[in-house]
Order: sequence, then C-alpha cells, then structure tokens
Amino acid sequence: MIKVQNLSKDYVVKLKEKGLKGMAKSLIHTEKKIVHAVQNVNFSIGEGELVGYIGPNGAGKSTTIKMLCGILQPTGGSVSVCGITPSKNRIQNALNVGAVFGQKTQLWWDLPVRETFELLKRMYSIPDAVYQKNMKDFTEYLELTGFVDQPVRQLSLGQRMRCEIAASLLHSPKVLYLDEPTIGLDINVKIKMREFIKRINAERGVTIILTTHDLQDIEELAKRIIVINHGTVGFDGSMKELAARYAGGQHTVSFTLDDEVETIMLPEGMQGHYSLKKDGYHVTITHDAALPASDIITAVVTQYHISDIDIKGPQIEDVVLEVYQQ
Amino acid sequence: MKRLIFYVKLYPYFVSRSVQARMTYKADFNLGVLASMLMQALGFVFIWAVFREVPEMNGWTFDQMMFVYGMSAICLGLNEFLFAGTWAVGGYVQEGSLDRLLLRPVSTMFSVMAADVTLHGIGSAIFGLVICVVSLVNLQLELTLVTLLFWIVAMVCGTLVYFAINMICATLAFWITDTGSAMMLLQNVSEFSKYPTAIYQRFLQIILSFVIPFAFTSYYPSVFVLGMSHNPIYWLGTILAAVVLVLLSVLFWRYALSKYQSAGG
Repeated sequence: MIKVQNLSKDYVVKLKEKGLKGMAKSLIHTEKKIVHAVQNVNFSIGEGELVGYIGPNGAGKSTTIKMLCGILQPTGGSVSVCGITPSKNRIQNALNVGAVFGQKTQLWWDLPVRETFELLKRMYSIPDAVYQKNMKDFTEYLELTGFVDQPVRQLSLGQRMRCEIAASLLHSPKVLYLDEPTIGLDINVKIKMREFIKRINAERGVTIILTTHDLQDIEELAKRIIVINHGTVGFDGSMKELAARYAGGQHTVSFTLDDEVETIMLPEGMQGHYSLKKDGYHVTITHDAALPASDIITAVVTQYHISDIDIKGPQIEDVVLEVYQQ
Repeated sequence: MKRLIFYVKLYPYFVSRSVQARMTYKADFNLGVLASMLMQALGFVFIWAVFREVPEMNGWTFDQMMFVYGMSAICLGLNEFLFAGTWAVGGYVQEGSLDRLLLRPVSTMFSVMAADVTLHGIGSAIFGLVICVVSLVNLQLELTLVTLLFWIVAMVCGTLVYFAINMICATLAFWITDTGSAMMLLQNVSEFSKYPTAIYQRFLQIILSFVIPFAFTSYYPSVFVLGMSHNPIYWLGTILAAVVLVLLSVLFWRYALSKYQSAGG
C-alpha cells in the first residue's frame, strides 16, 4: 500500500546575521545551511495496517508525512502510495488519502461545519450515496449532532478535532495520515477519537499512519511502531518488541515521608530490580517492569508513614531515547 | 476540458460560500459597498470638474472618457470581488498553510483564487456599469451585436488582466516576505487605467501597455467599443493580453511552487 525507499529530504536554511550590518549583507549574499530532515528512510506498510510513527520534535515525522501527501518534493529516494508517486501525481494521490494535522485546521473558519463538508463533497466529486452514508456513520460515531451547523470558529477544540477527522474521511480514502490528532484534547475526547480511529481501521480497512507524543495513543492503537530520530529510522517493529526494549529503568515511584529515616529497607526478593535515591523526606525508587509498582508501594506503606505517592510510567521521549541509546 | 468544466462549476460554489462567510459581518459588508461606491464617485467628480474647464483632452471628450473610467471600475471591481484570495498568498507561504491547499485534489492556483471574496468589489462594478451605460446614452452610440459581445468579452479579459498581474505579484511571496506593499503599489498604478492612456506621456503609455499592461483593461477595449478606431490591435490586443498574462501567472505560480518548502513542524 505504502512503500518508502531511501527517502531523504534536505531543507535549505538561510542564515541571517544579526543587526543592521547583517541585514545589509544578506541583501547581497546569504549564508546557506543544509538541514537533513529525513535521511534514507525505508519502510513499507500493508493494507489495513495501523502504524505509529513516533519520535521527538523535529525528528522528521511531519516531513515524512508531507512527502507521503505530495506536499513536499523528496530530495532523494522514492515514495509510492497505492501505486502512485505523490510528488508527481499530487491530485490523483489526494483522492486516495486523507490527512489530519492536529496543529492546523482544514475547515473553513467562518462557515458552519456542514458547509465545509458540502464543499469537500464537490471538490472530491463524492457520489451522493457515499456522502450520505459517511455523514450518517461519522455523525453517529463521533457524536457530531448539535454542532455541525455552527461556524467553526465557535467550536471547542474537541468538537473541531472530531469534525476534522470526519472531514478527512468523507471521500472514503484508502490511506489516512494522522499527525498529532489528539494534541491538546481532554481525556474524554481522546478516548472518543481513539475508539473512532480503531473502528474505521477495523470496519473499513483504512490504512493509518499515526504520529503522536501520547504514549497512550500508541499503546492502544498501534500494533506496529516506527521510531524516527534525527531523520533516520531507529526502530521498526511491534509494540511488544518496543516494550521489551524499554522495559529497563524508566518506571519510578516517589514517596514523601512523614518522618526522616536513616535507610529504606525493601524485601530481599526485590533486590536487583530497583535503585533507590533518598533526599531528606523524599525517596525516589526507579524499578524495572519485572517489579510491579504496587509491590513497592505495599512494602513501603507497611513499614513507613508516608504523606504522598507519585507513580510515573515510561514517557514516549524516554522510549525514543532508549531506542537510540541501544 | 472535463477538468476545466469541473473548475468552472466549482468556482461559483466557492464564491457563494465566501460571500456567506463574509455576510456574517453584515455592517462590514454594507459599509464596504457604500465606501467603494463613494470612492469611485469621488474620482469621477474629479474628472467632471476638470472637463468643465477643458471640453476635450487629446481628442477625448468627457463622455468617451466616462466609458474608459467605467470599464476600469467594472474590471477592477470584478477582480476584487472574485479573486480576492490572491491577497492572502503571502500569509499562506509564511504560515505554511499552503499545505492545506496541497492536500486537496484541485489545482492550488484555483484554491488560492477562490479562497476569498471582497464584497465591496461589487460596489465598484455596479458603479462602473452605470457610468458606461450613461456614457453610451450620451454619445448616442448604437452598439452592434459584435461590439456588444466584444464589450462583454472585454470585461472578462480586463478582469483577468487585473487578476493575472496581481497573481504574479502575489507569487513573489515565495521569495520576499512582504508582498502587501508591492500589491498596494500596483493598486496605485492601476489608477492610471481609469483615464485614456492616450492622454499620458509616451513613457507612461509604454509602461501601461507593455510593462504593467493595465491599459488593456480599459483604454484598448474602449477605443474599439466606442468605434474610435478599427485597428485590430484594440480588440485583438485586449484578448491576447489576457491570455498571455494568465498563462504567465500560471507558469510563474508553478515555478514558485516547485521551489516551495513548507514551514517546519
């Protein structure tokens, strides 16, 4: 369905010197710097797959997605989506794919959402039957009733994002790119969005590439994960494999004690699975996945008086860092 | 060809939606139309005042001049109304929102053109049409079918000339940050198209005919419609200018787009 081979993208960045002198200089000659945003990326994604594409900010995620959309021309390598080269045949490709960019709206700001849908219907030449069916399904799944007739500028972010994803799927695309679709959403809307994404993937067999900074999104949705950093792919495999890799020392439990104590003693059996740091009343225990946080808490609570507990799981940034350190 | 029909059908839909969006600010709309009509009328009062003193200027009477003035207002108004989206190109390029247009299965230039309307353009166009009709009545000119058809074609061509020149200027946004001032400058130059090019100095005539050919929106077609010359340069030139300029603007846009790097993120 999607085939990416040796894909690279370089940006040319103009360096401007500071001050008036620098400005005058830049009129005649500007220093240029080449940034390798994406380097030699290879992957291929089959029909109906739901792939998480993750990496820190500036890793090259969006740049890859933009090349898959035909928005950017690759500097090297090749892209094929449903047998089409997006950069050469942008319009044909656009009919096959849908995209949601969490940071940028695709809807007409001053118009009711329904008008945007109608415009898209005409732009994509969506047959009436398909349009009616999709509108009915999406209105039901995403609970759009109540605000489709309101201008976009009056919607909350959660309402808007639900409309964005509906808009991206109106023409029944075979491929969907979701670039941080849950950014800034509250937990209820996030759950709704995840359910919807799962559903269209399962029911309609839409191939989905999802970029996100939310590990929860990835854990619940993606069976396969591609990690990118500094423009290169560092990991491509299942969630399980990735979990096995980051099972290291990323989980922490922190306590605030009521009284200061000399040492903290944990049961013998836990030896080797944790490391401990004490700073006055604060104790931070870093442990691996083999030792559940609940066991540590039980052990500590039965022996000491505590006033506060804080549990932290692995963060997506840590996972990525781990992948690149190995 | 099928594609062209698709676009021609889609355009009015875009325009009607943009009008709807703009209408949400009703006071803004009414005031805008009124202001533009007043502006046009004010300019017109100026030539009327001049002509009270001089009955003729380089062979042009007041009534003939009125027609040129009207043509210019019609084309300028239609361009402002229909193709207001060109003013936003700079914003698209800087914010990277061109990406949004590139996602759609339609030509990006179409999306840019159709993105917005300026309602007060309607005011100018209506004022222009009234002035033209008054001029024709005063001159007691009976238009033949050919001249009438040409007049309509000339309105389309003139509008396209304004659009294409604007579009070329807007496309510079891919290289320079602020095209707004350049476009304002163009708008000021377009003031020259309100009067017959024949009354200007040779230098200005050349500029308005070949460099920034605003003369093809009003002066050239008017000479033919008013029957002042049968030289084909006046009617053929009008049509050719529109075709060549639109073609140039399309090619320039495509070239700029091939150099486009969307904003980071």
